[in-house]
Amino acid sequence: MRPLIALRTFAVTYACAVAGLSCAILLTQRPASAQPPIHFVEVEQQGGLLFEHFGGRTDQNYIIETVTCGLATFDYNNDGLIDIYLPSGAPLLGTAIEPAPTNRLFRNEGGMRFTDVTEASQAGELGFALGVAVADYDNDGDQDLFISNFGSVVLKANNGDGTFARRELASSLDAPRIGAGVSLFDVDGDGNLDLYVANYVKFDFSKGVSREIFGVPAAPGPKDYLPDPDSLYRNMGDGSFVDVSQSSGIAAVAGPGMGIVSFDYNGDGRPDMFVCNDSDPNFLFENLGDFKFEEVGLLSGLAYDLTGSAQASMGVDVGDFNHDGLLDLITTNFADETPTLYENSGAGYFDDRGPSLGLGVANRHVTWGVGFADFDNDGWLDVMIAAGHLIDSVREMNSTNEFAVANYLLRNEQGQRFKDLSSDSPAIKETRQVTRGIALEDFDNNGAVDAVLLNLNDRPQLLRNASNKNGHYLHVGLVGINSSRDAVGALVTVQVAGTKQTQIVVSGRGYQSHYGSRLHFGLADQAMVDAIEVQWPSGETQSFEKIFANQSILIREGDSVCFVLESRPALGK
Amino acid sequence: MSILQRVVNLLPLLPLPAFAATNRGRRNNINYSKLIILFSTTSFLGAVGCTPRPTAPTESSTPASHIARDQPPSNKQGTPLTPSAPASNSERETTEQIAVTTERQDKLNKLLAGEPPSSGKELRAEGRTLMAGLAESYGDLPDALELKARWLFLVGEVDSASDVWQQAIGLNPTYGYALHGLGKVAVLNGEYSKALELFQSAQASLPTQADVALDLAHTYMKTGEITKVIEVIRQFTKEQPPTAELLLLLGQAYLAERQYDEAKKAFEQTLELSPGQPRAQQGLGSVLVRLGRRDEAKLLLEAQKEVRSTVERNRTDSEILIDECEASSTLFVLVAKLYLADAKLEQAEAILARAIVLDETNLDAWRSLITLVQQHASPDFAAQIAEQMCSSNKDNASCYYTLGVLKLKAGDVESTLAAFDEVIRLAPEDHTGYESLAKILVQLGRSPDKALELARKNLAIKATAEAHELLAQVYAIRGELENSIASLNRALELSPNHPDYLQALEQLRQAQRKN
Repeated sequence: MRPLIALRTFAVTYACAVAGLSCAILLTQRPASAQPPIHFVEVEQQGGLLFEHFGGRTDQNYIIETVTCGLATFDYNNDGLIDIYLPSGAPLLGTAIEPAPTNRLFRNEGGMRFTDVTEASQAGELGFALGVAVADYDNDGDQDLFISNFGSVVLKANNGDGTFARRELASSLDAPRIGAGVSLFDVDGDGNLDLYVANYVKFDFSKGVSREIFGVPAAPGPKDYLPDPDSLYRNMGDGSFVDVSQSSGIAAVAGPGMGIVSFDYNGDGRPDMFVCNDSDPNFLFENLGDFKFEEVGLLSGLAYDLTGSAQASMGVDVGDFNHDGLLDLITTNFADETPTLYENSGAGYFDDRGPSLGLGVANRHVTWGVGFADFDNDGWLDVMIAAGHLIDSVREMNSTNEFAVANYLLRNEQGQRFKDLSSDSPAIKETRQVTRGIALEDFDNNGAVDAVLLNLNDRPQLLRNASNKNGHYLHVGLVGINSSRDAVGALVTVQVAGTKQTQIVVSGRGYQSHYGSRLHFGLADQAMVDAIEVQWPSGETQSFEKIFANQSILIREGDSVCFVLESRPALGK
Repeated sequence: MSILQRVVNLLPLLPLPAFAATNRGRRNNINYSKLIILFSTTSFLGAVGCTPRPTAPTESSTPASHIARDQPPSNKQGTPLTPSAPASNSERETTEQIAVTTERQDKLNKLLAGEPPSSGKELRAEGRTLMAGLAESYGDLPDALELKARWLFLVGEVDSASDVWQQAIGLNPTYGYALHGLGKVAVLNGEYSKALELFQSAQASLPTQADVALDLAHTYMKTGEITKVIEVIRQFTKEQPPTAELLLLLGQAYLAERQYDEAKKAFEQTLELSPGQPRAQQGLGSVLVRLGRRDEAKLLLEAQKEVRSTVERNRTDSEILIDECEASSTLFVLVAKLYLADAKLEQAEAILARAIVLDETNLDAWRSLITLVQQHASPDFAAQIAEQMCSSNKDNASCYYTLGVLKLKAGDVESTLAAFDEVIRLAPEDHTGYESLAKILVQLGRSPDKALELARKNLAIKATAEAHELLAQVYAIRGELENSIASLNRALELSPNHPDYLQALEQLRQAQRKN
């Protein structure tokens, strides 16, 4: 029997789901305001995120220097506040820098303030990081870190006392590989999360490639190298992982893998894996059961975009953007490639709806991190996209382009269209940077999703969601019992005012990043959720009715009631 | 008239710039009475657009005789473009012209033997110099500004290109190419509304330009106005022949609109124009999946993926430089044509030669140079250049066709026959080689059996009245008058009352009666 719930430092209110008790929330009036529906402001001094990413900074334009890295947000100490883990690259080819760049963990102190606890937590890591994911792989009640590097995959196991213990996975690897996206998912439904690592290309320093465009130095691309097959490690339940890449069929194909996300694309109850491939057709590995996979990207419509092109897919997120109960995908890619929104038809294939839904406005720059989140709590998943070029001399190649550019913020207009609201937030529009990973969380637990951005060779950016707080919200956390404790793969459907919102718990998403273990639902002006249904990876289904808004609830697999972890007054009041 | 419209008419290119396309001049009447004895004169030469040699081939070795014989080319004002010597001393004039011509030929040979740039940086510098000279000479000409802007755009100096296109618009507010260029700049800047306006204005000026329609439709795709994409392409293809690119985009737009039957049709039409186009195959496969035809779709999708997996990889630095040289070469040819339009023949010639050094496969450059050289050099020299063109484009039948024509003009019959043999070898499915070779053999009265075989193959590929008539000629020289008459009758069935055929028929009947 696993721990039901970790000890938390704040009071837990155990409430009957149907009761309109102390956590009842008053409906708020929509304030008249000229403020745009979504509005971010930059937190001064990055909220204490004293960190500068290091990407190698050689003058050789090694391919790995351009693709680092993602980031992770998670509640490492179970205090109900989401913390931030910022990975870094490292010196390359024998160079040394003092002090050595290291990954850093920042503890959330509340109020959008963070404290560096790297040393105390021993969460630092000196490798050249590209990807990171979070999952409670040993079901011990605290979340662990999985970091993919150029060189090795590292587990930072959470000891549950605020510290981490380092373990090198994939130690059998003979040659350094470029591990990119990381994700954990329960392949065989045994409650133990298995580890998937997307590998990029087969690179070593002797294979450095120089590029010039009309005499201007450029960066090499993935097609300058052979693609590297991805890796799948089976969680044996005793703390060990066994490489099953070959026997599972995952290694039967190779692509320059980057961001990945796991979800059950065809509703057969088995989690599948989507892999962004950089300038190659994307992969969709269908889980056939018995730890066997088949790559079905072509027939599922996920290999290419609407134009029949293999995009330079970088990041991916999963969400039900149009309330049809089916999980859709959005991917980011290269300049002049429209972000692809693969709408799930429910018939085994996806349609690229990016151009139709107005995502073409975001095709000017190279894009990386991506995330669905309901920033204005109107009940519809909006999108944030990170941008920034690979080549610092890009302006010499195309004088309309820049290395550092603004990111994108797109508002979902009821599943019919995405409207570019980037210019409504100076923190988005006027801040030019070279962003890679983004993570979307309600860091200050005020019911509005904030953002943290990892910028290449630069400081991160912490964005506080300062939107008109006229929408209610619900945070939902899950604790698996028969399923993995993190409930990875669980589907939560919230019914409110006649509509249904469906979200999935994932480990690993966006651009080689992790965020959103706690689900956030925007509820517009509805102060109460009509019903919540949870479909657990174990196959069990739970339903709750009449849940009040503006609170954070915890649902434990098999329980007939849910916990109210925290309730707040109406937003903005 | 704009540069791109003008250059099409500027140089009377040699026959068959695209091999499959025929370029037939008006044929002379044929005297079948003479044909029966021996064809030795002009009908074929006239048919392929070349000036027949009036006398023996030995003349070809003297460039001066060529100059003396041919009319000097004129510029648009009607002024002779070649330097003219004092009329009072024709002998001296000829000698001087020989010297000038030889000097130009030597210079041209040296230029053609030049080295391509060793780096993109060198190429960029070379292009910059060329465009600076162009702007200095023709800064008040929108066409020149257009070429300069295109170069700047090509090398990524987009802001500067935009400035130059704005200058062109200042000279001519409806100058379509500049409006098109500015539209592309607006797209790169993410100014899609502005881009749409510019492309619409460009299309009003250039209603037949498929690439303008394509960019307009693409921009609607970016703004998510899918029905507009369909509307633009449908409208364009009502008036103009569709291109594979337009049909591909149309298919994608229909796919986005979930109009699967229309999408299928558009992708199939794309594949008709561009067989094996992977993105069209992918689009068609996607449609088939949505129509429930998964097995068919799978075959198609996997086939196109396999094709792409073997061809898609990054280019090496040297390959990138080759691409850059090719793109530059195309622009250099347009610049040369601008100089040519201004009767600056030597500059044009030098630039064309450089365009060839940049890209030996640029047939437009080769043909333009050959046409230009023919105006001042001997047919032999022009043929020499054509030989170099063939050497650089060994698999291109149209190059050998050009060589054959020039060899014929130079009086080198054997080389002509060899060149047309090569045309047949390289393009056995095309009728042109058979037809050309058959006609020469008819005129030479040589190898009647081979001529018959060639004429029959020509007819088998292209059963036209002309092909029947050629066969009639072959029968005539073979003395098979009945067959010849039968073939002519067949030609007349296809082209009733054709006066030449009627006349020929009458001649044959007279000959038959005499026999």
